[in-house]
Amino acid sequence: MELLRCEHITKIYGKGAAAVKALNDVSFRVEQGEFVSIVGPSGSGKSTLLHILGGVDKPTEGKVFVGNTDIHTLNEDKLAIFRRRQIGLVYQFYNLLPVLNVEENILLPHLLDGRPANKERLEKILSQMGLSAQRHHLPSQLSGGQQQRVSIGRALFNHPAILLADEPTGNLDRKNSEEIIRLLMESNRSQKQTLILITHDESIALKADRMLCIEDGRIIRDERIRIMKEEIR
Amino acid sequence: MKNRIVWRVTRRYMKQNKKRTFTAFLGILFMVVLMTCVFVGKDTAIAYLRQVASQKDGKWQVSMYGITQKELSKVQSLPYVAETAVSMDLGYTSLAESKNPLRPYLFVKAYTALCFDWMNIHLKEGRLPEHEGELLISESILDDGADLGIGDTIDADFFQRTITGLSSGGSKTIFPFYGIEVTPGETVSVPQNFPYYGKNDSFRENQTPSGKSASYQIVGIMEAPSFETKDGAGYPALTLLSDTAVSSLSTFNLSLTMDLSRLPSQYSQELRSIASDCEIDFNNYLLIFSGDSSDSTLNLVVIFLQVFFALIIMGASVLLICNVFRLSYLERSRYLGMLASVGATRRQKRSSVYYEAFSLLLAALPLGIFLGIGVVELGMLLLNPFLGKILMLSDYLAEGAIPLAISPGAIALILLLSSATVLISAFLPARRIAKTGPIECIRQDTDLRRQPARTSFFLIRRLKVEGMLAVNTLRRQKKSSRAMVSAASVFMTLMVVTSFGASSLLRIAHTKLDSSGAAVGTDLKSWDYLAVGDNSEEIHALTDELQSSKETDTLRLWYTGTFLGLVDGNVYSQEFWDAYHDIFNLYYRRTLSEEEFASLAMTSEKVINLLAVDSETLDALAKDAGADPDLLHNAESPSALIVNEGELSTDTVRVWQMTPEHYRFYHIEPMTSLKTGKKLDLRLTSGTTEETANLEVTAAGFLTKQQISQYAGLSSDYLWLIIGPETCQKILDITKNEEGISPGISANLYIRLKSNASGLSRRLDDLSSDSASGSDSMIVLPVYLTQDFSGALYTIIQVLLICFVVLTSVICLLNLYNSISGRMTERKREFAILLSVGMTKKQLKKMLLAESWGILLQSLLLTAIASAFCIFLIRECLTRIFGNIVLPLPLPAFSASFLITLLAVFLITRYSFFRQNYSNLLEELRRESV
Repeated sequence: MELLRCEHITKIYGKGAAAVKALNDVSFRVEQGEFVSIVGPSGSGKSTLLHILGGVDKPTEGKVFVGNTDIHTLNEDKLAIFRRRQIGLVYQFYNLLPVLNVEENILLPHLLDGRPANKERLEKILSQMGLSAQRHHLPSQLSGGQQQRVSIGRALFNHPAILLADEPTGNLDRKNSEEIIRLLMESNRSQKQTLILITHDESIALKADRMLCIEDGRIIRDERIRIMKEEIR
Repeated sequence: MKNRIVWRVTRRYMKQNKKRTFTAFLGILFMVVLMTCVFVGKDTAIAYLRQVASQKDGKWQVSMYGITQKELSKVQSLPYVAETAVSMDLGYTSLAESKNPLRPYLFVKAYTALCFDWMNIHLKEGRLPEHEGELLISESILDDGADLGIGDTIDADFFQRTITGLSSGGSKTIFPFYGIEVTPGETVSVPQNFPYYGKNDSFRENQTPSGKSASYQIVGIMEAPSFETKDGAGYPALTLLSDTAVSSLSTFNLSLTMDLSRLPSQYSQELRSIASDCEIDFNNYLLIFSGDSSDSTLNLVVIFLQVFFALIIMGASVLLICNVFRLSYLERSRYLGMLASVGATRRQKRSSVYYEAFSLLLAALPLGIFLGIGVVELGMLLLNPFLGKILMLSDYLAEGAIPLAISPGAIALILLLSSATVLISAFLPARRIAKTGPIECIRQDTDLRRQPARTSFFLIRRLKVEGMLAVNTLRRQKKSSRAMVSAASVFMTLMVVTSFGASSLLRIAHTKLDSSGAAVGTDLKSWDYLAVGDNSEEIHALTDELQSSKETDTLRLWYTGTFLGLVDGNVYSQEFWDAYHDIFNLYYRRTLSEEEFASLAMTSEKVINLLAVDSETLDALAKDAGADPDLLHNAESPSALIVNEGELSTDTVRVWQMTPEHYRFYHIEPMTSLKTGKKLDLRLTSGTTEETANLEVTAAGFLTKQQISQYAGLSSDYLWLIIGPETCQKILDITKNEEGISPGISANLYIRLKSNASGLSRRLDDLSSDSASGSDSMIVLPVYLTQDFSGALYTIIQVLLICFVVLTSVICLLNLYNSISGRMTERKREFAILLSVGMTKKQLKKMLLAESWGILLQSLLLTAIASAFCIFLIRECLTRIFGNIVLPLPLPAFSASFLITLLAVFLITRYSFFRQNYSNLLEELRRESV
């Protein structure tokens, strides 16, 4: 079942001579529960695409449908509600709130939705992320891997339909990277959450169901990993 | 050399982060502007007040009377004496042309040219005397109807006046206001302002020829000079004293001006010792503003307040700049961390902080001083038209533009204090950054708490997510929040403390300027005309006329009777007598025994004042006092409300011609020992028989000054009885003489006209001009002409102090803006994260609102503590220096400052947040972090 559809997305930064086309007529579809990796050189437009898919940034042209809704036709408030309910964002640099502890950071999108703190779900996420012992720690008291796990916990808490991860392992060592990818893939499989992940790591990219390769703001390859692997073989 | 690379990096960082650099620059600029406004503004205001004050008695600062050439040379050799001018009193001469029987003489003074300028001699007609045979006469001679004019000649045979007591006048005749006591057969000389009493049973006036005579030609008519007293026996007249004649004089008067920057603190004692037994006079109106008057108590008050304000401003500046630097370096700690990671030492990191601080200061200093001077100049340009046109004080203002007083000392002080402030403010962040390791610097988490923090689900339930975020931000990023809390507190504290300091200074100025004794001060702003008269029938006729006119809006008829009657001494409270005793001790410069004091102060009986108000006011006052209004309206059994507060000071209580040891003020409460329902025996003087008539008056209730203040300000060192029209009529009937006048009682008719009352207005203007020259018993004045010099000066001081409070508040408000907008910029990334995880702008607004409340409540608490401390300090010091003056708590200023802060914090937060570009926030999400 199709969950996400991009139609002719173009994003231009700046104006006149200084204008930079970050995305150029990008179109693709993603099924529910699919794991898509996006690869490409630096500055190719991967992060811009992810922000547009997450409703954090707006395309200059084109449409992004989640289900039947073009998310960029939503007003600011509705878009914010969409983000906290349907999207889970994981960044390379975690983007945790420094004044909130682990529990509060994880609970944030849930609380923003005006719902009472779901302690049961919180316990589950904390144990799933291996953060039970650090629940009262502030981000500054955590290691990079732990911070990224908090960030994933925050992204997963509201059972979002789509998980968007922007180089979540780019800042971590191998062991932590494997652990983070395991957590994301586990959520993708167990919850049937669509996972779109940007990475420079080929081994991680190859773990996905599908790989999009972007260069100069265009999708130059869109391939099913299984077919690819067979071809390689 | 080692620092050069660090400085270069710092410079580049400052260039790249223009907004942050600009914010820090603005903070320093505001501080320099504030300092400039305070120091240049203070000097300019003092110079301005001196200029205004010189309109009263002239530009002279000290005058000595009857000194010799030896004393003159001693004075001239003093290093702080700038200029001297000699004058001499030639004496009285009969003025045959006088039409005023109470002013039969001319009193001629000879002035050197400089004296005419220093004594504020304003020509009305003709010219100043250019030769010794020329004379300038006062316009009051002509106003009283004398047939004299320019070109006429006056032949003068000078004499001195003395009086000799007569046996028919009793054992002793006392003139308390002139410090004269004469027993039968005794001859005493009288002062210049001694009135002419004509033939009487008590004493005889003698004229002793001085042997000098001269013939003068009138060359000019001057406006009545400030030293002319309307009840003086002689009209003043001036002739020229040539410089050549000065050297041949054996005794003369000397006026001098001084270089105030070189004035030693004990100068008045030095001049007094040179003057020895000669009379010496200090123009304290002029000298007080710089704390150089002859009154050491007042000098101390002025200097204390000046130093206190300067310290407050400096303290506030340090706090504000500290905030700015703290915010700046929190952000810049990142690059300093990077520098440290490649080997920059602690010293180099510190030098980077100082480099930035002082390079910004270097640019801010000239601009800030320039802007500060501009602000002061603009203020002074607006001040004269405001005071003149809006407050109608043009008669009291100095002509022409008000010059700025920029002294090298003030500029040096600004440079020194600004540099010291920046050094102190940069020192703390520099030390902290130097101590912080590279990783902490790069992570920028030095402001965060180090301990784990428990989640408060209760807080989340009660305050929702927005409240939880706000509370956690305030609790866990204390230093950043503290910057805004302290900026808001500094603003509020400064507003409260400067308002309190200004109102204290005003209260003291009011007490000093209004030390003439008994007075009824009414707020005349709501009235158009005031008619004052001794003859109640004349005033009643005018009241009837006005009442019948449709153009009259409101009339109010009050009577005041100062020093009207006597009561037993025990009617006054023990507190009153204790203060009175203290004042006598100050005059006699020793502790008087009770017996000595009782005989010197005549404590067996004391004077009392009366204020008769209209029925409506009386009923309102009776309600305030909890008294029965019917009782107060019953003339058969007279009752009165008693004002149970009073004031005594060494200015209001005069003991002969003695000078007190120092100034002291006493606020007295209670003024009377009477209780409600008790009677006092009021001894009046019958107007017809001149015998004592007793009137028993019941104390119906007591009023505080606060309760009566909305109707009248009563200042006196005696008790005030408030009575109604019925009791007043009874007193008028007792005291009225054959001419229908009750000596000591004057009627005040307050008149308010309807807006279109042109006819009645013309009639009252005619009465006003008639009363200027005609009727003695009734004067009609438009209210704008009722303000006297003291009142005008008080208003000007009030306006200047309000300007000071507003100016400091505005500058602190700008700093508050700087702090809040700086903090908002610093939190861009945090907002971006919140938005990215689904926070709506409405929720963000709520969070900021909750944070603002938190900041406000914390600032309120801090302000309350800081203000209470400062107010306590000011009160204590002023009470110790001046006396137990009542200084009301600045609650209106506190409320106003809280409201302004509330509005400012909300509006600035809202503005600072919403002017940020939403798409720019995304960039923050991509920012590199460790």
